[in-house]
Amino acid sequence: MRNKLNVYSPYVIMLLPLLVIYSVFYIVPLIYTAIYSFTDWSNYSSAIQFTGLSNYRKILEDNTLFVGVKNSLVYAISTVILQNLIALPVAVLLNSKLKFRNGFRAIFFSPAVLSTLVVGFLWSYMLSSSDYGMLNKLLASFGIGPVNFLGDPDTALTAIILTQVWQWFGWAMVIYLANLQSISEDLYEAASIDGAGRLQQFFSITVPQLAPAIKINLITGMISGLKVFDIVVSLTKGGPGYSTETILTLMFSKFSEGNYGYAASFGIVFLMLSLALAALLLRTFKIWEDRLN
Amino acid sequence: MKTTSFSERFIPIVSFLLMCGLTLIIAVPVYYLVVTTFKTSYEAAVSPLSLPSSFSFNAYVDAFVKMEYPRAFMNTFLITAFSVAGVILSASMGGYVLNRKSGSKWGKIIFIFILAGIMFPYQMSVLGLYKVVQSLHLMNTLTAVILINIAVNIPFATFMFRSFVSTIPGELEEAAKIDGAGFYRVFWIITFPLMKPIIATVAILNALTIWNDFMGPLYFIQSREKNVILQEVYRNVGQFSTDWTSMFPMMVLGVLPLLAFYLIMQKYIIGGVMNGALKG
Amino acid sequence: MPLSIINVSLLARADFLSGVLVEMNKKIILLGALITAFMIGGCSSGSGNAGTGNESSGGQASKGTKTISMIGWYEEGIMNDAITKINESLDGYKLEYTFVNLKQYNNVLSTQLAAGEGPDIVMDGASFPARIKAGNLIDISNEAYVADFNEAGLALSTSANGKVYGIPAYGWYSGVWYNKEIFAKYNLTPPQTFDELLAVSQTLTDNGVQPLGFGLSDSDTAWHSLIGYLENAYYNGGKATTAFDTQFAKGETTLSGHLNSYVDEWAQLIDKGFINEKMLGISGEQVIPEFISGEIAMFNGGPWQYTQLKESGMEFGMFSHVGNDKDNRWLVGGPAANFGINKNSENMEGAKAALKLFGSKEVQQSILKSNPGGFSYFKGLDSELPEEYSAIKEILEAGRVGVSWDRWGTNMPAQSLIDEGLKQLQGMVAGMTTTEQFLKAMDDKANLIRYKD
Repeated sequence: MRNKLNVYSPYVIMLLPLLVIYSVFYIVPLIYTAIYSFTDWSNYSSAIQFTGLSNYRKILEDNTLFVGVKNSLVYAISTVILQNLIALPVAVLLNSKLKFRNGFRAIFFSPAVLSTLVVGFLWSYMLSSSDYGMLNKLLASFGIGPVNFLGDPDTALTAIILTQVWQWFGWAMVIYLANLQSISEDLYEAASIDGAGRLQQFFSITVPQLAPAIKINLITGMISGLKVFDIVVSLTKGGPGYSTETILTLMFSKFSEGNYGYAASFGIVFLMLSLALAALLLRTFKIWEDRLN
Repeated sequence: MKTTSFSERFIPIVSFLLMCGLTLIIAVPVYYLVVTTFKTSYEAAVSPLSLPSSFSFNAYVDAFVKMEYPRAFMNTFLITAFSVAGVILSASMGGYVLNRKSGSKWGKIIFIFILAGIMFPYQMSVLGLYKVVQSLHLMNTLTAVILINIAVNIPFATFMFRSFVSTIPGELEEAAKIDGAGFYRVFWIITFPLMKPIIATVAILNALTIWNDFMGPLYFIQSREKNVILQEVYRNVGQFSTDWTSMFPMMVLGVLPLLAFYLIMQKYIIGGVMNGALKG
Repeated sequence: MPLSIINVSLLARADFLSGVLVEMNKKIILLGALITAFMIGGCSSGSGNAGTGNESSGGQASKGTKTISMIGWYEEGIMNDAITKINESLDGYKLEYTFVNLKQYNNVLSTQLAAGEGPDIVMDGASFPARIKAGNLIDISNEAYVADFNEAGLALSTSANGKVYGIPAYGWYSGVWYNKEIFAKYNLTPPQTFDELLAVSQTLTDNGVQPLGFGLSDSDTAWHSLIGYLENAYYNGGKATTAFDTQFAKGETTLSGHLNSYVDEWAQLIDKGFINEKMLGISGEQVIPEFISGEIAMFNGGPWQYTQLKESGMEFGMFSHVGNDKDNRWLVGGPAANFGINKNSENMEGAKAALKLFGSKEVQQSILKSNPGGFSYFKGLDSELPEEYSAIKEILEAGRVGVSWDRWGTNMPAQSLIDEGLKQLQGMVAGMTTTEQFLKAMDDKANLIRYKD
């Protein structure tokens, strides 16, 4: 293939709509953010001044950032692992001849259509530690509890993670289901002739064949996990204390405080961190895939 | 042999029971959401899980009127439909080019440039975005929200389309070209229709996120006659208290169209996501 | 590989390519036309709406009427009457009010103002001083209607150099709701000092009744309790005066080292278990059903809950926040929203006329009526208080209403400090934070967010 770029090439023309919209409505605002990150702009100042790297220095001194990074990582990794640990076996089961399997598929996917707003309101009521909290009422009837899900700093993040596993494992399941249908039956027949048991087949055939789906689920899960903030805002607002703050909830509160320059530098740091992490993930997958082939 | 036949019979039953158990866990919150719409706020607080004392659809009728449902639905629908169409058109063409040109340097650079957009939530650059929308004189228009939605969802969609195109053999296009079809014709007549499964996938995923997007309309639409369902839902959240009796029915009314859309598209997506979501 | 299966089927189709081309042509052209029509339709309907939007929403608005825009977090039900009254007197203009939820309000308004846009009439509460500082508002010191308001009502809308940029909607305050039946049952009277509050709470606890209900997950009820105690025991009845907060706002003094013993005193509510960890998982709203059902005897709140409580049929009343001096009790409160004029308004004359009407007795009366229990800063405008408020009537009439964050707000975004305070308070209840750490964190936060010149 030629490496030369011909401006009038149909390839370029077909790329144009994408490039124009993406640049104008995504990259340009991002550039604004990058520029603001070097200024002291705030909602109470009438003039903007360049302050060099001072916002970035301030971030290093801000001890809440560490909590935010830690929580975001814990959140992203745990939701991804839990979601896939549930979704993969469920998808395998729903790929076999099971009664009502289409019904199960639809039900498991249904939480994914709810907006974060709805999920937040729903779960904050269900997890409430008040005497009327639904889950605690349920637990009490089994003689357990009460558990202060969102109010205890030790359990709040876990509770948030579980609500998101509830909401999104159906999406991961759908992706596995799709991948499962492309696995040839011949592979299983050959294996059972060799005397491999079901469990053995699962690990020696199903899982490696699902590599593409695992890849898409882990990468998109990690990315959206790192970006988490609206569900946290609606469930705990980052509390109690700072126990559930994530990078983006922190950034958002800087924004709400009116420190636009500082908030922007938070955003840029976040962008760098997640790009680095994504590159790391992609590399790891490449190694895994190379080994499989 | 004996054990095999035993497990053959046993496993489906166990799996079925497992699925039923999981259904219970998944469905209880959804049940709670729906059952609450038939209760007074006091009844909902005191006995959250019990069946309502009376099944009256009055709350739905009230919510329907109060949220000006037809108007709010239409705005949400327009935004979602045009955004999804825009994402699919631009990302399918772009993904196609980036796949066919994945060997070239600029193809790689542009792809990475676009991928970077997956990482950064656009809400974080809302001030810059505001300036862009303002300078284009698009403030308070659905068009602004649509264009933003397209831009925000382009990266992931392009990623999916680019991967999918590798499952479409180039020989097909060559054959069409030999038959005398031009470049664009080949794309629209041969390649685009073959992308059906991935189009369905991207359509569902984007419909979910765009239908449920609150920030775009919140920042860029000021007048009520142009606002979306979620904004209407949020009108119940007052300064000091929330009107739950209106809010829950509105939430259900807001989600129904999306659920219907998913059920219709379900068969395509199962066939589709993988048929190419991440080959390549 | 499954891929090969697809390839085979595709290539098989390629053999019938010419046939396929003809068949698909129609579909594709149709699809393409449809999508194009959709896109064009979308853009034109979008911009079309933009052009006609102002008129269509007005309904009765005639041609030539210009729209004065305004956004606010008060539900439309509260504002409707006032807006209608203003529109009756506005000539050539129409005031249009749009509700934005309080959770997003600050960011939406800030973004609009930062971009040099925003509504013609700017409505804001604790952040009003920030809007003045940023130069978003015009000076209205010389307008005649400003003189109709008490000085206390202009606290948030007056700049450091004495210029006035806005007028208040009405006055808000918080106190403590109590269940009269429970109090009667155990022979209790509303506490007038902090020691009495502790004693009453203890008696109730001994009788198996939860004394105080707090929702600490999202609401600031406990924060009101603390601030109410400080307002009584420190600022007005104690060592300091409200001037302390002015100094603190300027960065001349710190909370840590001054407030410790007072916060410790208040924290007896935590030590004695009246405020406990369970409350961290409850929102303020979720407490109300428990208060109504009689499981909780007292509940920090304000007039905004009155209707809900009244409708439940329970017997209740309100008493004031307490300190050490029962003759000098203070309520937590101040000017609610303030209204000002956007410097960048394109309808300056209309905006001025609308604000003048906001400052009229008729409209002030209407806003007060929509906020039952509230009071007015408009001179000579008295509110009628239902009998549930009898215990605080005298305090209101004496004007003993104040709150420290309004005083902080003169030189920092006070809401950010409130948010920090709530977080630290959660930490104290969870046993993670000491009083000193709490106050230190507040000082640190203030250092970060104080306005710089």
